Amino acid sequence: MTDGSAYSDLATPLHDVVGAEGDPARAADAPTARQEIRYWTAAVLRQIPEEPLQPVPLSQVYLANDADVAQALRMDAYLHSVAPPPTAIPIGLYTAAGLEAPVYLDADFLLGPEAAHLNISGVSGLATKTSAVEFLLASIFKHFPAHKGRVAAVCFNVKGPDLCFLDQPGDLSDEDRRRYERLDVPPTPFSRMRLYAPLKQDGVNLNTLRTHPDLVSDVEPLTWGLQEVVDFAEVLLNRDDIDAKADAFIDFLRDRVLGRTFDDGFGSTHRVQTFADLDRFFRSIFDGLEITAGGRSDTWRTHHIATMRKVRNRLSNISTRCKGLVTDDGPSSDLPWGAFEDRAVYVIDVANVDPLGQDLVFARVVSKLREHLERRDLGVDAVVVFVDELNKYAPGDGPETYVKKMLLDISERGRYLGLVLFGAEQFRSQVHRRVVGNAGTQLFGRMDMDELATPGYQVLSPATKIKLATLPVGELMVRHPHFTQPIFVRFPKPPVLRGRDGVGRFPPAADLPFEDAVVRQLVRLDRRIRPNQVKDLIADREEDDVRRALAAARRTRPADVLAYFRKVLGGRVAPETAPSRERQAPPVTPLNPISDEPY
Amino acid sequence: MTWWQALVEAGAVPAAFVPPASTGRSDLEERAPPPREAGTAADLVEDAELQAHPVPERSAAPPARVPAGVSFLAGIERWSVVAYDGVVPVVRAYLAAAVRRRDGKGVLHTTHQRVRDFALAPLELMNGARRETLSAHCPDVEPVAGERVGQPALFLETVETAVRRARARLERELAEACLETLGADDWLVVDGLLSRSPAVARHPRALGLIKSHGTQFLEGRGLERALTLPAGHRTSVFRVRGGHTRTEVYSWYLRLWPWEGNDLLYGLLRVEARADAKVIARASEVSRWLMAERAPLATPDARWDRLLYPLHHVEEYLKSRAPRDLQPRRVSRLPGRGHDRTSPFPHSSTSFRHCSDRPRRRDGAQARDAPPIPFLDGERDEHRDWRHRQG
Repeated sequence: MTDGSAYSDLATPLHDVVGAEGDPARAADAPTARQEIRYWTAAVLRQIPEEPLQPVPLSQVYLANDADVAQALRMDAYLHSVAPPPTAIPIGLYTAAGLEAPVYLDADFLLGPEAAHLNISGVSGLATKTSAVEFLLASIFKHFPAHKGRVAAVCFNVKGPDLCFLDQPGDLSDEDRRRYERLDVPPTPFSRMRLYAPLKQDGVNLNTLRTHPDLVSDVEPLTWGLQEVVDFAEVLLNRDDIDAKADAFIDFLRDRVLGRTFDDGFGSTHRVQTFADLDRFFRSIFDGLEITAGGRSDTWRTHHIATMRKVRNRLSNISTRCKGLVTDDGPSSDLPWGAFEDRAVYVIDVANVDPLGQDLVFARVVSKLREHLERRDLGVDAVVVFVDELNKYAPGDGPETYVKKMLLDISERGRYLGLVLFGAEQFRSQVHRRVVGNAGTQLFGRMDMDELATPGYQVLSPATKIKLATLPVGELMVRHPHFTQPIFVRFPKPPVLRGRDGVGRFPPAADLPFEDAVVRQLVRLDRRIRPNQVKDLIADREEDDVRRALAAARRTRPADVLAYFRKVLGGRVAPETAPSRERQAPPVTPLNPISDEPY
Repeated sequence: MTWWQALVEAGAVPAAFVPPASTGRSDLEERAPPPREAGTAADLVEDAELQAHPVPERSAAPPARVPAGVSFLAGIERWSVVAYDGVVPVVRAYLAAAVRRRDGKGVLHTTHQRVRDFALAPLELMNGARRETLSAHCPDVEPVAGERVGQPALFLETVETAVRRARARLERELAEACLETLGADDWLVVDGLLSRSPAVARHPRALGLIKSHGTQFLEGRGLERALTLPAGHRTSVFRVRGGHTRTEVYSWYLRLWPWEGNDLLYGLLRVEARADAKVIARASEVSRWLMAERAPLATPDARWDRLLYPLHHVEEYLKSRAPRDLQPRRVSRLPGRGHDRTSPFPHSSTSFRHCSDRPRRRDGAQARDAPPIPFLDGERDEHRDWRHRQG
């Protein structure tokens, strides 16, 4: 139905006013009901035979059953096909006059190689966008065809606890369960869910709302070192910073310095693997220029000192602004690149991370996904990347950021790799046209009337717009390449615990003191450990040393955790990949975020 | 092949003349001869002198009692000259009448319906072969007198009279059939004269509503009081004597809307009920019920000031089922369009023309673009006969 009207034989409202003698109380007194009809306009969804094209003749109208809906929406081609096997993914139920019929998306067009990508718009606060994606992921995991391989999802949690409890069951009504049964999707939470969250400034407490003692053991820390960051240094540089000189120096660092033994020409040899190493490296060069060269030279290896100071400043800043995500001097803890599990959801909680850090996380994760998918060694054949708030990350106007370029790249070329973008936003009109336009499947929840007045919605009939503006929770309008008209479907509540409910049921634990946090993390690794043992062990020890020992234990997961921790803590804990580093300088002084340097 | 097409095949000349007055629904009463000539007259049966009685407001306590079950009867007529046999016109006429009953929710449902689609022609003046063709192809042929054939305009009046009589007969038969199945507490409201059928005229729960006032039953001061009746008032009840075609009934005038600023007959209704003393006692109560029937307005019909909505509804129902080729069309009557001798309607000789014959306006469009309320009868209506108002 594209439009609906009501007709009566009332020539003008004034006539009813006259009939009631101007008294509203008499409006209902009329002994005879006026003749009134409902008039609906329906769109032609499919014509059989397709040629020659003909107008629709006058005929009887019937309610559609499942088979009719499948035929009208051209779903029969991928719902009942034999070779290749069916590729239908249930998206919801089309309901009309008490009847309901499942509506399916074509996996080839939802996850590639055809069209691919999904975009969902809707006003905030109704839990429609997130719920729809959660349900759709459950549906994909159940119905993703075997011949298309393995699939996983990477979700960026950018606000609150939205995606933190995907492995916990939610409250489903009987009606929801009936819909799940009708759609043949299990009403169960995701059995394989991994949550990654950076640490807080203290380096031991997790920066996430999933810190309840019963659940925190499932949260993996997400921490990166210099090596992980410097490859995405472009993310850290704003438009004003990007110039050929800075680029050249970063390339120089990446190619010649990082991870290598490097002679700075002033008598020192460096092996830069951490931010601390990098800071020592810069200090050595600046000291060399000041002392050795007597301040007469302001260039080093063709790089101007100002360029070097600027790059140093930007790289150093990230370790300060994103402390907890980026470690000055420590090992990294990362997603299981190369070992992604089939039907697993990897949630990266960056809700409380500095925007710069969010950009960095997004850029690096997507780049790594792309890199591994290109090499076909990720562990799965297709990855759904869910990004909320596309208004923020890929706005239609504003500067060209690295993240926006990456989103454009995914939406335009990701389908060949199996890298599929599920994007959500409140205002579709404010998202970059190419990101939205490349989404083969588009979902619409309840929309704001102002948004519906924008040119992008001109193709919709007034009745459709009105319905969109008043759409209840749990209903969506779907546009899919196989459908000639937008279809409204109803989907069940997702089978997982909603973020707000999760925080209520599993309240986040308060941040623990350093010692207790260390105890908790070690106990998580080995429940036999007694807190007093750990506290005695770390008493009067440098926190950085303890952090490194803890990270080493976390990474190694030895059989006897406490013994290993004691052993690592016993001596100077070396960075993970620098067993034979030259350490001539005294302990690293912490980076000062506020520098006197004017760069 | 239709009978008129067969007639054209047999040599008749196709025609497509729908006289403007042929589609209307004017009450037969106005065609009746003056009272004295017809032997009809009125005697007061309530009050010594004709009085104006106020009808209580419908909202006044106790509220107006509208019967739970009321059936409304109305009819329509359509006719058109479809062929000429020489100068002899052959007419196709369509009559329809229906009874629609109002249920407890105020919705009308058709309970009785009759239709007659027939030919009218002065058979004795027709060519023998074509007369046989007409008889062979048309199962219902009604002969009319052919004295006035030589004067086409006058002959059309003869046809019109014949059609109206036929329609009156149809409505009378339908009313009688309806009364046989009328519920114990149900009422029948007839659009037009009640006195035409003895059975209907004597029924205790039958009313006739007359909107046109071609015949005056009152004289002198009584007539003046009736014609200047204020809104929300009725006259005293008077007796309408029977004649050779009528049964004696009681009647009174009722003013539904204020006439000041319009004309004397604006909103003026004449009610007929059976000749019984109880009617006098119930005249005010019935009048109050009819006043309550003013809403909803029967617009856009130009007679809305005295046409009750349910009767309007019955007419609209019948119109929606009437043959569309008998509706007057605003199409060109330029010569040269009648080349299709098989069709009596040159402008409907192609399917595309048929499409254009359909009403172009939707109700919704009417609602949006409606003209101002015709308080001043600004609109002419096909049903309304204006001749009696020109003097």
